[in-house]
Amino acid sequence: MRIFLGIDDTDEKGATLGTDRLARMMEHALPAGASLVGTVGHQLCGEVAGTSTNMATCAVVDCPPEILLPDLFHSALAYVSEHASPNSSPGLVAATKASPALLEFAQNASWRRMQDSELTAALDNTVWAKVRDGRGLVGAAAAVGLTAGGWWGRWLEYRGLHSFPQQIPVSDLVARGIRVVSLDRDAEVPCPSDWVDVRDYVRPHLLGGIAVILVTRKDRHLWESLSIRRTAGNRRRRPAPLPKK
Amino acid sequence: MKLYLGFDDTDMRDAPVGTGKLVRMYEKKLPPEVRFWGVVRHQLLVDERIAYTSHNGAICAVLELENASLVPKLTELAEELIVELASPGSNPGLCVAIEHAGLNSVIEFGLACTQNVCSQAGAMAAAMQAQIHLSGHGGTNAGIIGATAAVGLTLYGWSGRFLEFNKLSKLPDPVRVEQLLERDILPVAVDGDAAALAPETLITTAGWASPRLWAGKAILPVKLHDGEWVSLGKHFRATGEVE
Repeated sequence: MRIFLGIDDTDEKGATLGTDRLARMMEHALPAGASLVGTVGHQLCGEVAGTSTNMATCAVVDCPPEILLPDLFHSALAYVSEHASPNSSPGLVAATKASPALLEFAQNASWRRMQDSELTAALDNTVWAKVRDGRGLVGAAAAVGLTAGGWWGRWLEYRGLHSFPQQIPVSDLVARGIRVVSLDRDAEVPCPSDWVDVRDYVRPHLLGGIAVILVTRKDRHLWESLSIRRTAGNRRRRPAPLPKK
Repeated sequence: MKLYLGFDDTDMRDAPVGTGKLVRMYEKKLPPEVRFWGVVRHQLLVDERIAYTSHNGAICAVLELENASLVPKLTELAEELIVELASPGSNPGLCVAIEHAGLNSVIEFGLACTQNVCSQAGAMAAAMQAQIHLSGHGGTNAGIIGATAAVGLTLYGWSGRFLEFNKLSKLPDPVRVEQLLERDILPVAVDGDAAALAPETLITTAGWASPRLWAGKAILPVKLHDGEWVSLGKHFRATGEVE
């Protein structure tokens, strides 16, 4: 069974332990038999006071059938409560899938500020908790919805992502469950014996529910992943959607 | 259920009816109870040992139907069209498969055709194992290789781009995200944020929206360019960084 565990607002300015790192470290607190597949970062609406980037994180955990969702959730909650920054306001949400209401909530949270009142329907069929004021509950719910939805966000950790060499065979990525997909005009399938230059910052996209490295051809048997490092300049250039008619 | 029809090697260079046009004409002949889902072009291996018309692409048309008893009639319709419209000197092939669980041999053959020079015997073996229709319609019949590969790669679900999907050519430019969603095309941001896009967001396609077949769905990758969302289309090449 796959469980999506969203967390948000676990740190404060200057904290050494950010939300994504906390999500990754949470692996050590999971019940025996549960394994962390990875963590997915989601950029939510930037118009939320007190945040700089408004990123929320979802941990993806695979569990054997004997581990129940509430048990896993309580382990995670205890860990977050202990390790979150003292002045943070964490929210946690866990679910095995996204209901239509949660999916809609999550997508809306990507481009507009959500109200607490909109959370009620979204949290149906989830397990959730607030720590202190729990302002992170909105982000946590959105992170679960977007990750379970399968088409948004990037994997910040995925089966040893941080230890990848700069150039790696397609077959090695496939063996780790990562698909390599060409963005070139002809959308061809990279060969298993080809190589991928992941540059210095590999962060696969979450597409179709799996980890995907998007590449363009660099040479006959060499592909290059897109450079997708986020910068303040990039964020500033993101255009706001037009007002509704 | 979905029905996959692979067409290949039905034309010659400068032929008045290319394979893409032949498939569009096939759509017009379909009975009303059949829905035309889309057409996907797949890139096969480009190699000097392979004879191909322009760039060794193969095409798969996908239909949706309720009743499997229509399959023989739909197959016959495709064969008749090939016989009528294929260019003299071409080597047409047709592969037809209704979706079912035993098509792995076809998928594997399709993937092999993107990497290696494959044979007609290989195509026939894959089709026989999957118990699907495969026929040659003239010349050397070499088109059965691409036709089988096109079906296999479409079933694989992570290859190729759509030539047609819910009236692609009728899309406005720029197009709003909600207009794409109405046509079952999901725009996906391939920038650093990879965030969901607001329904009213405008995407410039330059008149050439080219969704990809990702996870079996029509997905339009988009990126920011000079402050505007643009689709990655016909002319996208590895020219630089995606913001």
